[in-house]
Amino acid sequence: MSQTSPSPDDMHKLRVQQLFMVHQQAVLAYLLSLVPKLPDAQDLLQEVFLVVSRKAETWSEGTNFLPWVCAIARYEALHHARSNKRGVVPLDADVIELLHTEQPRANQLESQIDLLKECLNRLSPRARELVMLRYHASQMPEAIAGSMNWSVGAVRVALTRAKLALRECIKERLVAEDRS
Amino acid sequence: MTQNRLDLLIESWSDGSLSLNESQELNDLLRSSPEARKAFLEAAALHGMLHAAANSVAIESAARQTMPSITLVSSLENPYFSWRSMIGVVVGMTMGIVGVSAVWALASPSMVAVSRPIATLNNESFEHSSDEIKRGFPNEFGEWGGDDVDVVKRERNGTPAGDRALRFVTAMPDAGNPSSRAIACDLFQLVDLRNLQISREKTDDIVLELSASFLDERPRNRHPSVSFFCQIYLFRGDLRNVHEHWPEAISEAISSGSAEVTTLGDSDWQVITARCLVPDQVDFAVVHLAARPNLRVTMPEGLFVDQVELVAKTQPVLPVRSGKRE
Repeated sequence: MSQTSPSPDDMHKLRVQQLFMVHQQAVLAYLLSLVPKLPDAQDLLQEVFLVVSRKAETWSEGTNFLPWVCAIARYEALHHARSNKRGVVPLDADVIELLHTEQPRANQLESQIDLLKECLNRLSPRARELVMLRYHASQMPEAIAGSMNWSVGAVRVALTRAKLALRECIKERLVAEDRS
Repeated sequence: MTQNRLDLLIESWSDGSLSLNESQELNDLLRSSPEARKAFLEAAALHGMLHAAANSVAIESAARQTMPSITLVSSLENPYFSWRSMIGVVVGMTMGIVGVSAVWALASPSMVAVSRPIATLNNESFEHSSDEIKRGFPNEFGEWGGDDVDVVKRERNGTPAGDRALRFVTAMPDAGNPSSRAIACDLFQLVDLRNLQISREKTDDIVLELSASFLDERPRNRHPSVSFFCQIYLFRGDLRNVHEHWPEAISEAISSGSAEVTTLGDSDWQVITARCLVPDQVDFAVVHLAARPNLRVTMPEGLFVDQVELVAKTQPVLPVRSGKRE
């Protein structure tokens, strides 16, 4: 079977797809801030990949990639919220638009995920286990409550506190980085 | 409205458990209060980032405890391999054989998709009694392998296909790390995808869909809850490296898809489907099915899987949707 050389357009599209793969965790993180359930966000991520592939020509090498992709991701999430195709968006579309009127600070996503990793390791062992069960093992509070012999309400309160501690930790680290 | 109430509403939003009334309460609050919007945005951003951070921490922790570095063929030359997926560490394995058969089209208002049963698993409904389920991660295409499982002839509740189904019996540690904790009963098959590339049209987007039927026939509301998983990972390179370094090799996957369902017994057969975009130049897939009790207990009895299917769906290039909203 003979093979022809890929065209410049094909090479550019491949480059865009490769960049998407490199940044896809940040894109997923952004989608999860709009659509909280992981399977729904993962489905949307795949749709975003398809749209990004088709619109590859509208991105130019040398410009910021992640903000461009997040803008597409935001549009796709809003599109699904407005059409409510899946019935998975608990917030009304106008509220989502009100919340996300500004372009996402996409360039900060990856550095903040790195900070968050450090902060996770600074949580108390109990709080860290709780967060890992929820976000790594993808267990719902009901399942966590069963395994820890807590009430569901107690799990939700503890998760809220752990996340508040993480937010404080990130703020402290950002301030420290600014000073240095 | 207290801060605590807002925090709890946001927490319920993040795990998808808002009731209709709570959803309305949160919507009203976010419409009327800039402070609530600010708090919500911060919490939502954290929720989004935590999946990536927690998975990364878990993978780094596992890597410190176990394996040498992994090198797949062309890993340095291939930009896809610079990507490290933040996928949960899981164990097990199976195999499959690829064949090409009929093509049919499904029409929808927005697109035309073509579905090809292009990748066919071997013994997908466990009807071939001569095909033994081997222990451990497979090392060849087209064989099931994994933890302690058996194939049984079923009477009660029947089966979705044929009269046999696979029963999850015992969770076992990772093959590559016998001292690891056994948290799930895993089953794997390796599927050769090289023919998929040959038949691929230049402009096709291809999505692989892996579906499986699961059954939890324990009495209703039986604890612990059990989660069933249906996962697919795509790789380039030599499958022997994946065999030798599973599950750490998951971090070398170039694409993946996952679906899960959690039950408390008395379920009917439930079909779940994992979807996975296929990048160019993929060589093979790892199909992974698992049952995991959500407490650290022995594997409950009465957990089954049957009718595992793998199909490739392609869609031609569609008109670019406008990003401009009316």
